[in-house]
Amino acid sequence: MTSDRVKVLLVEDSEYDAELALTALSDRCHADQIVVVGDGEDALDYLYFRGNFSDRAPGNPSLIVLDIKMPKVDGLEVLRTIKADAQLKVIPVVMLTSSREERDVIESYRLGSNAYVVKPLVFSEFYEAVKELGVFWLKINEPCPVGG
Amino acid sequence: MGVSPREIAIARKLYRTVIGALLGLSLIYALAFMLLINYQWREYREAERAVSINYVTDGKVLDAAIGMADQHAVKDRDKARRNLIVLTGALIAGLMLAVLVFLAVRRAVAAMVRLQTVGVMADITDHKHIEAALKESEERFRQFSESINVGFWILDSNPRCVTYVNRAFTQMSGLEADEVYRSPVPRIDVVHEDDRQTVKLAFEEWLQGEPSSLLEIDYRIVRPDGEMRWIHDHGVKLQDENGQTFRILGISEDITDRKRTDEAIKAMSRALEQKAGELATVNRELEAFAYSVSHDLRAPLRHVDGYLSLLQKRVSPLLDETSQRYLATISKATERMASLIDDLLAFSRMGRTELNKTVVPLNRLIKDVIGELKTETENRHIDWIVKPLPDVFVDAALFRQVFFSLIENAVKYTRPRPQARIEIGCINDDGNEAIIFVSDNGVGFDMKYVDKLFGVFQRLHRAEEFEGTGIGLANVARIIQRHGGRVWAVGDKDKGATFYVAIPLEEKDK
Repeated sequence: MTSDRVKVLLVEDSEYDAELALTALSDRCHADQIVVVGDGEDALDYLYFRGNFSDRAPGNPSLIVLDIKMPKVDGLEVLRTIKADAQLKVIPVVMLTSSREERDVIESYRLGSNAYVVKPLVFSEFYEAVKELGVFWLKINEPCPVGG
Repeated sequence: MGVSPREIAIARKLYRTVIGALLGLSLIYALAFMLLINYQWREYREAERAVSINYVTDGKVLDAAIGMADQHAVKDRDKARRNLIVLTGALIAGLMLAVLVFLAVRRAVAAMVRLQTVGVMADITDHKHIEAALKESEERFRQFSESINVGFWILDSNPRCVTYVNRAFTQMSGLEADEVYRSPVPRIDVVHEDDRQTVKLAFEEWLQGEPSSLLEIDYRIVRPDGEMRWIHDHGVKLQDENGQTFRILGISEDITDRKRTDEAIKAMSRALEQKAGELATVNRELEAFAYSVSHDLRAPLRHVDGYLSLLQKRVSPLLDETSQRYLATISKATERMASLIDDLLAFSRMGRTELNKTVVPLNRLIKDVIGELKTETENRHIDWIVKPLPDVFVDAALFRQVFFSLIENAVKYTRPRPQARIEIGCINDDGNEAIIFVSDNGVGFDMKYVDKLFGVFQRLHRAEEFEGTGIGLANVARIIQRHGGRVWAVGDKDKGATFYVAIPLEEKDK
């Protein structure tokens, strides 16, 4: 059953970045264990079984990777909702963004983000970063046994 | 007490008339006595002479005559003597009486005018002195008052009227002195109508206020010729023994020029403030623009590089050497562009972040930086000469960046030297600023390009010779400027370069 379970919810508005991230994560999990959504609204719909995701299989992802700059509902708003929800707050959230702005970093941690990763410009570095991120949160890190 | 000179003159005249009359009376009286006595004496003398003649001419007769005459003469002589005694006594009594009367009258007259006369005599003396002194002081006051450049005026308060204005005042206000003296509401008409009410209120309030308070007021006047002037008034109140203000002394200064200069300065500083504000806004906008541009440039660049890598992985075994080189070149170009964008981002961020100043011991900081450059210096012969450096009150992270850039450059540009020499020292530590230098014996630079050294992305060497984006020294300059310091360089082509950083020392450093 584990293999069917969604391991990563990747919230990323750039489909290229999403594809490149998927490539990096593919070592750790199968493509069907990763759900990619293009904006914050879809991310929340997914987590709350709404809209397009009202019929999705039960269970929460083991890791949420969240971009900040997105149309409609931005990453910080999604993060705020997740961390204010007793059920969802135990899921590790990693911010993966190109913003190195201090206020974004501070706000993310204040809202309860578990990690903050700035997308490296050079692909090789980007690839390594996302790969290691997957290794750490999906393999090394022990997830919370309840809630998620 | 006031005795007028006229009263004094009358008193003196009266005194002289009475004394003169008395003396005259006494003289007439005395003369009358003298005449009488004289007459008696002459009578007697003539009788005696007649007897003598008769005696000489006729012996007989003489005897008889002598007898007769003797009788007669004795009788006459006795009579004359008696008369003479009586007359003399009367004369003496008369004279004494005259003297007594004279004294009595004199005393009476003196008593009558004594107070005044004596007082007036004294007063006149004082008065004369005071008159002279007053005249002199008035003259001095007039000379002073007429020659000074500020308006001077005297305002009596009861009834309220201006009793004096000097020349400068009339020149300043354009009013004639007579006009001012006549005006029942002194000078208020000349005050600009916008200021009139304010001036009135301020003046009355001051007048009712503390006796020792000073009037200080600025206002505009419109001269009869239509010219507007700015006036500053200073005033003091003079009080009588009852504490009532009876007089006001004032000075009026023409401050038109000062006001105009002030206005000009104000206008200028307003304009400058506005310009500075605009500049700050433009600067912020530019920085935000630089940030967002470089930020937005990152994503497509990452995609180019990402897909290029994926493509390389897939097709590399199938490609010929030239195609492989093309792919490698594209990859290198994107990498370079990535570092340019990253540098630009860092540069723009550096200008916006707050300085976090602490006391930084420069010697330790330099030691750390040299340690960080270990990979670059591993297989090199470098003589490090680090002199004693001061502690400075600066942003530690940014200063680390400054010396990292400077020392990294020194290491980089001495690479062609088999024996490199890098010296870090302080040439001035006078308490106001510390000048730190980093000097090397590297490839140096031509001084005609010195202006380009600290520009963003300005380079004096090709990337193939010496790597780098050209942001390092721009950052150094920016950081030092943000600390209120200066940075400059001296170079000699093929001989070496020296970079100087002047940091103002603050109280905490000393």
